[in-house]
Amino acid sequence: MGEWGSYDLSDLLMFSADSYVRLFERANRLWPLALLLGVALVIGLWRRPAGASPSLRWVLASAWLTVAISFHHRLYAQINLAGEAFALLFAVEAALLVLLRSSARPAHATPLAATLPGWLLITYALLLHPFFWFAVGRPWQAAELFAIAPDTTALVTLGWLLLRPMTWQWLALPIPLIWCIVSALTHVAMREPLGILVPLLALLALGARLVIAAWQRR
Amino acid sequence: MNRRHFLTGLGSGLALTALPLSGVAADALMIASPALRKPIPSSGERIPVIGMGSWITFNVGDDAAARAQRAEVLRAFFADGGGMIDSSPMYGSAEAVIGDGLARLGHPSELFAATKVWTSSGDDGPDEIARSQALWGVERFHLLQVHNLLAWEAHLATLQAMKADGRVRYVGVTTSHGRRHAELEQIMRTQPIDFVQATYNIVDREVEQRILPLAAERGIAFIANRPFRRGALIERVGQRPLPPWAADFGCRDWPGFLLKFIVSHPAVTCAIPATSRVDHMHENMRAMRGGMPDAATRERMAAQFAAL
Repeated sequence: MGEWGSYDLSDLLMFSADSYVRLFERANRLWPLALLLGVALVIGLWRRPAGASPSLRWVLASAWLTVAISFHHRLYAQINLAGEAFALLFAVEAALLVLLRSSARPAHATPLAATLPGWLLITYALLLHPFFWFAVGRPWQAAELFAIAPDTTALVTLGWLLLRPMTWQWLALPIPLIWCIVSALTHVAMREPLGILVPLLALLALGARLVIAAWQRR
Repeated sequence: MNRRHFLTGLGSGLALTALPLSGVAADALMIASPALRKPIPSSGERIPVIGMGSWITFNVGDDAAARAQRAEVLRAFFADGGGMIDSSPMYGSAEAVIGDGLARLGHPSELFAATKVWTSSGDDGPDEIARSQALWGVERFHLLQVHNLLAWEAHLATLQAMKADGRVRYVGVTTSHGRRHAELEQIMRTQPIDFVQATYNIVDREVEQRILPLAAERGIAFIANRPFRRGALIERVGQRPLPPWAADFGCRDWPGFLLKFIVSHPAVTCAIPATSRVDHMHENMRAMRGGMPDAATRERMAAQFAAL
C-alpha cells in the first residue's frame, strides 16, 4: 500500500458535490431520448414479463452507450480523471448486453417468484431512484433518469438480468455491480453516505434472487 | 479617486476620531490597511501572503454557469490584492477554468501564475507545461513546481533549463498531507530551488520542525497548502465565537484566524486557500491585512484551537 494507504477516500475526490450534481442537470438536456428509451423499456417489459423481449437487450445497450458517451465521456471525464475509463466500461457493458443472448428454453425460464427481486429493483430504479436525492436538497433538474444517469441505468439493468435465467447472460452482471460500488464510494467521499443504498439494493436483490431460486429448486 | 484611495482616506479619518467602529467601518479600515507581502528569498520580489489554490474548487469542466461564477471569484481575489494562483494538470479542468476566468478579467497584471508538472515521464514534462500555458493563456509561468515529487530529478532538470532560458522565473517542488518530508528535505538541501510547497496549518505543524527552518536557512520560499484541511478546520470551529484577543491582530473570523496563524510564521511566504465562493474569498483575503500575531500569540492560537 505504502503512500496510497495514507490517503483518505475524500483525498482522492477531485471535484465537489455541487459539480457532480451539475453533471446531471446538464446531461438531462437529453431527456427526450431518455423518455424514448424508458418507454421502449416499459413496453418491452409489459409485452414479455419475464424480460424475454429481444428488443430489451437493444434498449438497455442503447442506454449504456448513451451514458458512456453523453455522461461519462462528454461530461464526467472533464472533472474526473477516471471518466474515460468509466465511459469504456459502460461501452463494454453495452456490447455485452447485445452479444450475450439467452438461449434458455421456456422450460428453463425464471420461476415467477424468483423474478420478484428483479421487478422490485426495476420499479425502484425507474420510479423512485430518479428522485431519491431530492431528499437531501438536490434540484429537480438533477433527477437521475434512466439512460442518462449511470446509477439508474445500472439498477434497471441489474433488475432486468435478475428476471432472466442464470445463463451466460449473467456475465453482464459484474459491470453494473462494480459501477454501483464505485458510485457508493464516490458519494461517501462527497459526504453523502446515503449513496451506499445503491449497491446495497443491488446486492440485496441479487441475494434474494439467488435464495428464492435455490429454495424453489429444492 | 479609486475605491482603495477612498477607503484609505476614510480609514485615516476614522482612526483620528478614535470612536468605537461599526462592523462596516472596521471592514473599511481593514481593506484600507496595506496587504502583507513577503519576499521570495531568491529574488527579493514581494508577493501577497494570501494566494489562491484551485484543487476541487475550479474543476467545473466546461459548465458555462460555473465558469462565470468562478470568474467572479477570481475578480474578488484580484480586487482584494491577490497575486499567486496555484494549480496543476492533476486538478482536472481547473487550469482551463482559471484560463477562462483570467481571459474574462483581461489577464490582470497582478497575476503570479504557479502551476505544476505532473507526469511520471520526464520526457513528457515539456509538452505538459506547454499545454498548461495554453490553458492558462499565459506566455510563461512565474513558478513551475514538480507535483508531489513525481519524477522530480528529470522534471527539475527541465525546469532549471527553462529558468536559465528565461521561460520561467522560479522553480520548486511540492508535497502535501505531510508525506515524503525526508525526501523533500534532501531536495531542499541539494537542489537550487526557489520554492517549496507543503501542508501547513494550525493542526498539521510537522513542517515547523525541519522544513520551515531549512527553507529559511537555504533561502527557499514556502507555500502552505491545505490551510483549512479542505474545510475540515472551519467545520471544526462550527459556531464557536472567536476568542476576544483575536481582535488584537485584526482578526474578525475563523478563516482569518487560521490563515494569520500560517502566514505569520517567519519562514512562510504565502498560503493558498481554495474556495468557490466570492464571500469566502473576501474573508480569506482579509487575513493579509490588519496586523499579525507574534510568536507567543501563535502558540496561544494553536492551544486555543486544540482545545476546541
